Amino acid sequence: MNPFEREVDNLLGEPVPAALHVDHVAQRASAIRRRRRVTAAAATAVVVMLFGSFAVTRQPGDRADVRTVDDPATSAPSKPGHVQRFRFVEDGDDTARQETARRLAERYRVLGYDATIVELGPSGFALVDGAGDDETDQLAAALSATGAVEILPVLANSAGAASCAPGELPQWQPSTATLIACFDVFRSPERSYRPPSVDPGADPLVVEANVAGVADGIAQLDVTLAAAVAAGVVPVAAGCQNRSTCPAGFMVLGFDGTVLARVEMDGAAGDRAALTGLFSAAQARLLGAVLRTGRLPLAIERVTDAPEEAPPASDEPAPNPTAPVFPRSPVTRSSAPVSRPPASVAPPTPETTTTGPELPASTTTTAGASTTTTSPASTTTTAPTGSTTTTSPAGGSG
Amino acid sequence: MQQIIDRAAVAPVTEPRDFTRWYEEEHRRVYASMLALCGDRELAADVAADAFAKALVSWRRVSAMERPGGWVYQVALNLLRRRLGRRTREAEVMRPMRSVVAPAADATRLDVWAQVRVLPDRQRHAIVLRYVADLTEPEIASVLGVSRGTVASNLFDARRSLAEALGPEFGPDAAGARHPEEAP
Repeated sequence: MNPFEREVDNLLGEPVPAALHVDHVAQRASAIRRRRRVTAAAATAVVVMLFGSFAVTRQPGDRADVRTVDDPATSAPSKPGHVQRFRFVEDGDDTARQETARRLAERYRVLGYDATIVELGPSGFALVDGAGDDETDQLAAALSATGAVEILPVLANSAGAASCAPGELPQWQPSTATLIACFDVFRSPERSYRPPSVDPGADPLVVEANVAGVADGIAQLDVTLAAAVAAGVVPVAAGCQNRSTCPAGFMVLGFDGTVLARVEMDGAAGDRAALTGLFSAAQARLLGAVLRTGRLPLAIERVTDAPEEAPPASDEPAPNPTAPVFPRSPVTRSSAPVSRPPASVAPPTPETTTTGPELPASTTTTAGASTTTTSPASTTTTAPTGSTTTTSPAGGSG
Repeated sequence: MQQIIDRAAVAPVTEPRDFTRWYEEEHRRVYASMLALCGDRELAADVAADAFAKALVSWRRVSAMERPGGWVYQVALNLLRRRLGRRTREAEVMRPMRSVVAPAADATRLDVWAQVRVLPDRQRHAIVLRYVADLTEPEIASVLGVSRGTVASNLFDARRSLAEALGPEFGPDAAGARHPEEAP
């Protein structure tokens, strides 16, 4: 007889703890699923980048095929299931924006899009979190299916949950390397977007950081974003993790990774957006390398696979992350968030002309290329101003 | 892990198993195995429950395996190793703060298993999987990721050690040392 049998019988005769009841196991399974979904969502840093080889398919001077959207809240996406653009709405304590995002998410879902929450990580990369976990998975799958997206592991996200519905992404060439992070444009969803204020004759490597009153700045930033795209540069929306100290902003990169403009919203200040440096030189170079090579130099094998034509970093004047490309507008920043009025109840205000910050000529040196001097930004943009000016949040999204 | 799954997934079953039924068949033995290995009911139950929960999460895949039990044992063993390792580290950290050492649980009923628990890892696992989980040597080899010969050797060594501590009836040459399904 097996001497263990008696002992095994004793063991098997042990009363089974309640934790092993099948219902409890099922609950644990549900918890595991939830955790996995959260992890997957966090790991679904949808950096809309690396549309193949940017260097091959896009050259400085090429114009992006931009489809302008009048209003993401009312415009039907052209291709349900194909996420064209992410719009960023921060969570925080701003229930109005949350609500707006939720409504828009529903709308987009009805239209065939997967409503999704998007967050911006500290790096400025877009992170996708799930409004519904399945939606996130679907979104990631849809993005991957386009062949235009790489899903990156997420960076820490300190901004908390944020809501976003996939909106419109300009019709980029399938192989266009792109890095677009989400940006807050839902604040005034009823407002229409205005045409990009891009000088047709402008150097395509340069885009004007044309920011008007902060009350409309978010919509205006989106215009600027579109303008940047139209101008052939790759805009990067940069949210910051700390809304009180690092307000929303974005930067515009040239093909060589040079930071052409950094735009920071300073909501508390009221009527002007500050332009400041948000990215480090290293980040800019990294992003530049991505844009140049169409590869993500985050994986070792890809680092070693860098094309020869990529100019050495030492040849590039490192953009000073602290010095603004344009002078910071004389605004006073408040660290205290100010609640916004519900966007849904704020009627569109009549358009007025707001003059943006006076921008002196900025010199941008592109690697391996001659110095490009841009004229002062023609900052006159049509941007509605109104009651929302006084209720802008400190920090905006981030 | 994939290797383990591949090893376990010899042939898909024609019909998906019913998790509840399979769970009722397996959970007691998995719990007993973990209890034999760690001597802590709470930990054993926790590990077993987590392993089954993971099986439920991946049930479509797990149920297609010829013997999902092997997969569960593997997961449970991994969980147990991890938690025991964490517990050991915590104990090391907490040692200076403790004045009294907690007595071992179930020192009377689990004497045999207390002896099993002082065996080297592989021998311990082999013994428990063999006699508590009632797995064959090839199945143990699959779960532990070693060759069948290694399992046989581990079992032999384990029983020899146990015979020294508990008596000759636990020795490798004693009756019932081999699994009934295995040829002598």
